[in-house]
Amino acid sequence: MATDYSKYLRMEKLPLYWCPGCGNGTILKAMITAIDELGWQNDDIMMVSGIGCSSRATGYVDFHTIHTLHGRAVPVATAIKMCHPDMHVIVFSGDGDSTAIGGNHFIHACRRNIDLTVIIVDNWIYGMTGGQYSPLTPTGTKASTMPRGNIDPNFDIAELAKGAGATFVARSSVADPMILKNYIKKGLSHKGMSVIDALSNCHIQWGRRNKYGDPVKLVDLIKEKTVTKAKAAKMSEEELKGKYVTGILYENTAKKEYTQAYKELVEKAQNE
Amino acid sequence: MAVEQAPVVVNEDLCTACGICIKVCPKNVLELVEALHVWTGSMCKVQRPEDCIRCKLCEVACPHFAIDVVDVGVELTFTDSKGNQVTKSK
Repeated sequence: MATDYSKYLRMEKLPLYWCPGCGNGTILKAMITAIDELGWQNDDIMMVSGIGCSSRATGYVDFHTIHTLHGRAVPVATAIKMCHPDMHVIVFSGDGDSTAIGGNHFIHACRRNIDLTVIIVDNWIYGMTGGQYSPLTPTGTKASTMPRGNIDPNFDIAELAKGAGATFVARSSVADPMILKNYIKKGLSHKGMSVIDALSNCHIQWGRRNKYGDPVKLVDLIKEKTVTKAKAAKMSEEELKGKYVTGILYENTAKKEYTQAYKELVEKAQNE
Repeated sequence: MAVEQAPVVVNEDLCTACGICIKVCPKNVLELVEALHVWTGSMCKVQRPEDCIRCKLCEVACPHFAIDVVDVGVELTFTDSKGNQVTKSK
C-alpha cells in the first residue's frame, strides 16, 4: 500500500525549507517509508539531530524529536537510549555534524555498540553555515574555505564506523532511494549500533563551486561515483580511487549490545 | 460517473520544480511547465498520465513529498493528454 506520509509528518510545517532538489528530503522520505514498512508507532520513536541542513528533519517529523547542540546528537541519543531501552532511537545527522564536530562522540558510540541508528547525510560540505569544507569533501574539490581546491584526504565513514566497533554499516545514495530505504530498514531493525552513510547532493554549496549547480547533474555524478560491493570486488585499487562502495559493508550480530550489557550488570549487582 | 482518480498527482504547494522526478521517470509522464508561482519560474505537471506504469520511482525520488502515485490495482479514471476520459484497471 502506498505510504501515507502525513501520518509521520507535521504537515503544518511543510513545505520543506531545504533547497529545491536537496537530497535530505529523499533520505527523510526513505526513512519514513522504512518506518512505515516496519509498522512502528510514532510514539515509540525518538529522533535526535544536531545542527545543520539535514538536522532540520526533526522539525518535520511527528515522532518524539530533539534538536540538540552542534555535533552532540549522538551523546544525547545515547542518554535517551540508556533511560528508555525500549525506544527506537534514530540520529539524523550531517557529515560535518557527525564526523568533524561530533567525531569523538560518534566513534565512542560505535565502540559501545549501543542500539542507535545513525543516518549520516553525506553531502560533502557544511551546507547551512556557508559551504566550509568538511572531513568528507572529496580531495581536489572547492569549498568556500578551500577556494583553490581541498587538499585534505577524506574519511571513509564506513571504515571508520567498522573500525570503531559499529555492528551494522551500510552505504547508499540518493540516486538509489529504494535501496537506501532497504538499508535503513535493516539498520533500524538491527540490534546494535547501525551506521548508514547516505550520499546526498548539495548542489547549492558544493555544486555551484564545482560546476554541478543542477540537482539532476549532481545526482548523476553521485550515481557515477558509486559502485556496488560486488562490482568493487572485481575492480583494482586504482579504479576504485574516488569511488564510493555501496551496499551492506559490515554486519555482526554476535557483539553484545550496550543497554543489554548494562541491564545484566544491574541485575547482577541487585542479586549480590 | 466514476470518481476522478489520476495515476500520479503532483502537490503544487510542495513542489519546488527541481526536475529530479522528470529525470527518473522511465515513461516521460512528467514535464516542467512554465508557471509563475515558484522561485524557479516553472512547475512540474503531469502531461501524459495515460503512459504512467505506476513504478513509483518519481514518488521515492521526490525530495519534497510532492508526488503521490496510486498503487497498482486501483481503478483509474482520468483525462488523458488528448482530452479523452479514460478508465483503467490494472
